[in-house]
Amino acid sequence: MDFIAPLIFVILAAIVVAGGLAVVLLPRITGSALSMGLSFLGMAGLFALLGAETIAFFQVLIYVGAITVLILYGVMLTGVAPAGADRRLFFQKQAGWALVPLKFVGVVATVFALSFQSNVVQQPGGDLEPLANAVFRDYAFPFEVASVLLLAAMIGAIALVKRGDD
Amino acid sequence: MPDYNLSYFYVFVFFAVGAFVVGALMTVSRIIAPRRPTPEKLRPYESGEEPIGQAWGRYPIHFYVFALLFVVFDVEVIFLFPWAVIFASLGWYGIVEMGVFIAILVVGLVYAWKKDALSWY
Amino acid sequence: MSPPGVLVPGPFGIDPLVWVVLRLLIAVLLVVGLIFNGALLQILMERKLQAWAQDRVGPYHVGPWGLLQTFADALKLIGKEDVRSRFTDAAFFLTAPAITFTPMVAAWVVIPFAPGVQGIDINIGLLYLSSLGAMGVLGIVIAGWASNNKYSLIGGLRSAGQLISYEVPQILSLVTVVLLAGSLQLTKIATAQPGLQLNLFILPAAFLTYFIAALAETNRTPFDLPEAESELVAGYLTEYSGMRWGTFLALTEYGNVTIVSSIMTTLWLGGWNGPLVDQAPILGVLWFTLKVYVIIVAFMWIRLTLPRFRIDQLMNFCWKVLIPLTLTNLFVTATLKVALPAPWDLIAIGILNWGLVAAFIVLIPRLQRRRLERLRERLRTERERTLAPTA
Repeated sequence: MDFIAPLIFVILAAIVVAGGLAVVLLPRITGSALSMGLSFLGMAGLFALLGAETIAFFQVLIYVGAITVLILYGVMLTGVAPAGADRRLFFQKQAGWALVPLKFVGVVATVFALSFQSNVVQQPGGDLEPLANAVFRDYAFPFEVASVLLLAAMIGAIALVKRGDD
Repeated sequence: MPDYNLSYFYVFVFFAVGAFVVGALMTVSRIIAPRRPTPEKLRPYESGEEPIGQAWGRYPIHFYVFALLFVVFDVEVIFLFPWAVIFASLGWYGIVEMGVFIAILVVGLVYAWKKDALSWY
Repeated sequence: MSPPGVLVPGPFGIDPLVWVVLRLLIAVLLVVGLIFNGALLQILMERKLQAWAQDRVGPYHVGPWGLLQTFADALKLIGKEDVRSRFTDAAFFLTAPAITFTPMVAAWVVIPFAPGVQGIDINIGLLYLSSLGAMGVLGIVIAGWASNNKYSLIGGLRSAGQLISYEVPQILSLVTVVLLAGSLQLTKIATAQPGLQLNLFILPAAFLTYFIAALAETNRTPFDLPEAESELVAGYLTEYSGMRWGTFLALTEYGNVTIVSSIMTTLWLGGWNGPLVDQAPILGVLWFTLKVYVIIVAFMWIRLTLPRFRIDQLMNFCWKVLIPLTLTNLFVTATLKVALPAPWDLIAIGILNWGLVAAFIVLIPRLQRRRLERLRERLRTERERTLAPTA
């Protein structure tokens, strides 16, 4: 049965990579946003494979269910790119092509330089209670600060959106 | 009680089965259903009117506001799941902790309410 | 991959290694069978119920008493031409039904029909179900967008707005139950309600809010705005036809109704618990199914009774009524649970919850009437102001 986990890893990784490629390569930006959802879903699968079931379904709930829809709505506000937008983006594109290999090398080097080894990958009782204890006992203050961050995001969005006429 | 790996193998299989069932239904339908496309049939349906332009365009911003409010509340809600499991052992400490967290977000909700961002026009 | 727990001998002395595979196969076949049969049965049930309520006969031509009507409809859908308009985005248009259908199928894997009769019993079962519910939204937005039809796009956007909004009160109501059960594992939540100590009696307000949110999440009347035919033809489904439409609407919608009814049964009605279950555990399946169908009939009844919401009413109701109500309920329940010792906390929570239900029933119409009066008042003063110079 030992071949199953690597096989599933390959399938999930393929989904993540395919989603990522589609984000970059699809002609319409809405399509890109949707492909990102696919990529997030593959990522959730990878979390589940690592034994972090709670994180995996948080990933699905937040990223697939909420962030993707948010980005989709954001994208739909922008409308179709005007003609000639490609030319204006020319230098950005070249810079992008130059930076991508650099970043790729950086990530690969980091992965090989650090060793991601931990003794306990899968907790016997699931990762829900360890996670809960970590958030609510050990890191209670960061948790409270997170709510201020969320509040700032919410008020910022409302302030930006609110029309001045009423 | 099946173990962790087997459980998520089930989940994986069920996802695959879902996709497979849809694929199978479409394939069967493709084999037995007739296909006689005409230009009128392939036009987007707009109650008989001639469609003007494509539907892909710009859309009002209030959808975005609600999506953003939702993201904020969704993040709040995912913290509630682990909290609800251990809050009994946390006692009053847990109540105060979550109370502060929710109170800060309720400030945001009240702000949105007062600014009329919760109304749909 | 062989820690203890994987290889358990099956019933009738089946070899453990065979049983691992066989069990999965049985689970898959059962679920696929249940989804198809459930959709066929529930559509017929809904049509018959509607017919009775409206003093009609309903389907009666195909088979005895019209029993084979939906079966014939399904065959027709498969044999129907699948029209895809010229402007659609092929890849996304074709995958959208699969994106809503697949999470629905996957949700079945954790439904506890009876002790032991459950695909898997993961200890985050409730979180799993919630996140699968959230995935369905994506399929609907994709369908609306990929159709490249104005009705579809507006329908898809509206539908997504509705689904994401109602997800918040839905999950808040679920968490309220978790407070009492202390676990996200579905079997533990079901067994935490022995005898008549059902969560329905202790947490009726959470049940009410979840029920309303579930109606919205499954696009049932009075929240079936995405399919508001008077405004948007068929919403995000406008460009879909044939079996693609069948998968989307019939299978996914009715499958989702069954899922949310099962969640309600497990969380509030004690799951499989019922008379004689201790002697014959398999009887649990019967009780579970009966309870699920009681809720499904309630869904149908509501569809018969209530008119459809307007989009602004729908969003207002969610953000200004349901979310404050569920948040209050959640927080007060948690406080009472910590504040009072063992039997008194449940009693206090019960009293408070029934109070909330009563307040909901009494105050909502009153608030609505006050709002209407204020609106009329404003209209009147505005009319007087505009008429004043000419008079």
